[in-house]
Amino acid sequence: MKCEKIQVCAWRAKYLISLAHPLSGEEWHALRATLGASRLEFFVLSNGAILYKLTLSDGRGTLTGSSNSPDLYAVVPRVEADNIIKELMGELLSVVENTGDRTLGGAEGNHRD
Amino acid sequence: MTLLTAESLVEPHLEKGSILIGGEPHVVHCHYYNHFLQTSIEDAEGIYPVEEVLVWTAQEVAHALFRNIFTKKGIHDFNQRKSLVESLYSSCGFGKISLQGITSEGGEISTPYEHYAYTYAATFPSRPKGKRGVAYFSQGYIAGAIEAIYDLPLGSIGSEQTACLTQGDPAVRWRFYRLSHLLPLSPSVQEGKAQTGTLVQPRDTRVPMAQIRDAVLGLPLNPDPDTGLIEAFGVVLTRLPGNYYTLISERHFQRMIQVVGEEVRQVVLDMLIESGHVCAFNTLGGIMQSAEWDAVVRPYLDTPEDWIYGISAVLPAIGWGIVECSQRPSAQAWNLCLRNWYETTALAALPSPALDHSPFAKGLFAGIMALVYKAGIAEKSLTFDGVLYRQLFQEGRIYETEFLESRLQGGEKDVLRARVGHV
Amino acid sequence: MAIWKNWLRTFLPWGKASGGGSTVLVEKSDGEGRHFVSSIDSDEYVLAPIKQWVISTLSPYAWDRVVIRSIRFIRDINIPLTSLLSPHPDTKVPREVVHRLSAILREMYGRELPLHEVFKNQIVV
Repeated sequence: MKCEKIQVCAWRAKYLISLAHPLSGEEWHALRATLGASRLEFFVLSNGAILYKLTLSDGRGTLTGSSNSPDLYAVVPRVEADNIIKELMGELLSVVENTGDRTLGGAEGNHRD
Repeated sequence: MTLLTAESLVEPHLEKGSILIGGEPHVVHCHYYNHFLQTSIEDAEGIYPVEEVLVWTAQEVAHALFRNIFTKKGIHDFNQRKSLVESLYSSCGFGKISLQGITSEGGEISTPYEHYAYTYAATFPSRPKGKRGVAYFSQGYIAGAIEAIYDLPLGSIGSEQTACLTQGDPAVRWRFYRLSHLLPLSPSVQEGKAQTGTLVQPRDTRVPMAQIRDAVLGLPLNPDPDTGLIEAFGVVLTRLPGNYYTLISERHFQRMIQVVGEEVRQVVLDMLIESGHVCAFNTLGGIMQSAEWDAVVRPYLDTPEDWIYGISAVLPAIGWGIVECSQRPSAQAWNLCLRNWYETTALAALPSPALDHSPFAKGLFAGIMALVYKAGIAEKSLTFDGVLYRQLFQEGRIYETEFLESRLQGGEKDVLRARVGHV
Repeated sequence: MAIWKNWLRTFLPWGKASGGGSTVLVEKSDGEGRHFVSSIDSDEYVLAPIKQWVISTLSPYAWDRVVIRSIRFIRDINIPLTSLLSPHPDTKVPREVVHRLSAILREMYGRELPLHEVFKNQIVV
């Protein structure tokens, strides 16, 4: 799992989190539960892709992703960014491990940089 | 209770690359662009009364669009009209307002959530006490809406902003009041000199232009239910009447030349061109690194040129007009043709516009070239910050756009070439 | 705290002040015997380094914005707009213009012109 900052201003920071596979709907729901997120929305687009948007509680930002990409995007308040991203990465790891390590590339999913 | 939802008023016109609400073209932009353009104009506050541009233009547009909606949908009840205005205000990402305390004589409105004020307070240094607030657009928009709600003539409601988040106030507040004499406002140009076009499918790419446009049209750009603000792509978006942007640019340009003289022409144009860079960088750059892009466009991108085709297919879906790539782009040049470009279409409806081309387009398409070919967004993820902005648009700026044909100079369409230039 | 006119002014980028004006480098003591330059005071300033500092430190278009915000003032003192937008290496402006620009920068960006920093690379000791 790789995480890099891709946008930053005085207010917000945006991170790209690259997984080995797209998160499944089940994993999105599990992530919502573990993060205590306030809202999980999903939208079926006209090309058949599903867009997921997880809104963290207390204005702590959003996590978005889609069914056809292993990349997730987190937009969080800049001043709390380090803590939120650390928590998010931890929960992501936990969720993907509990659902079969699929997003870390199965048996080879040990590289957690 | 109104039976209409704000969403039901949104009418995409594929053949024009436009999105109409109440007969007014609406376009998607982000808070960086909104602030850059507004601040560029506000900088002239010592030169001419900028509220006459920033507030009055919004009033003209809102008056026209709500009058159209109320008439066409047969909405006569004042409370239903108010409810619809509140709903559309949030739906477009402007924030949250309540008109319950408003009468035909005016009244006060206060809100902690207004796009310009909220995002300014969050992003930029606070403004000095005593300086007016930044919620010009909403001030005019609500004034025009009140006129339409009570069937008052355009220009009969005056307004002022009395509090702002940017000065540490807990809310934005405006006061509205009936005037004894009408303000000298002009009716909106509405669809302007609209034209139709076709989203051409280039043969040298597997990027499905129409499919992408349609998928983007279906993207959920929903406001947060608590704030009425639309956060997406890492920015805060609005769906604002395109005529507002165009007319404030044109009127600012005109007023500056009138008051200061011809010597100011180039610096004003440069700022309007720069607004295009700001937009390419923040709005389009944000889109090109997003889950939405990954879901809709990314699967078809094989080459840098595909990124240009992909973003070109997005533009009609956010109401900017139709982009046709006349030749395969390269790192050296991108020849393109614009149909119904929103800025041109509005300007073409004016009797004698001072702008003879779309400066926003000049900055925008050079900005796209810079993102793709200079920054290399197709090869690696980019970090959008001040450092990258300088590399692309200041010391490292290498792209510029020229108009080869302009509808505002008698052309049938806008023809542009974005290329490596002497900048 | 010791403050004195600094003889270094003859080496400063704006050179000898014209028309009877004076250029003053103000130096202060930190109380422990160490002296440092805390500000620069002059009747005239070379504009180009100020512009360069503004665009490189604040934003590429900050200079144009500052000049537009100053237009009324600039016109009152008969400085051509073009001279301010694109100053030549020897374009100088009176102190009040620089103070005005600094006040505008404070309002726009929360920063004032740090004149010592702006001119530090141009002081030859």
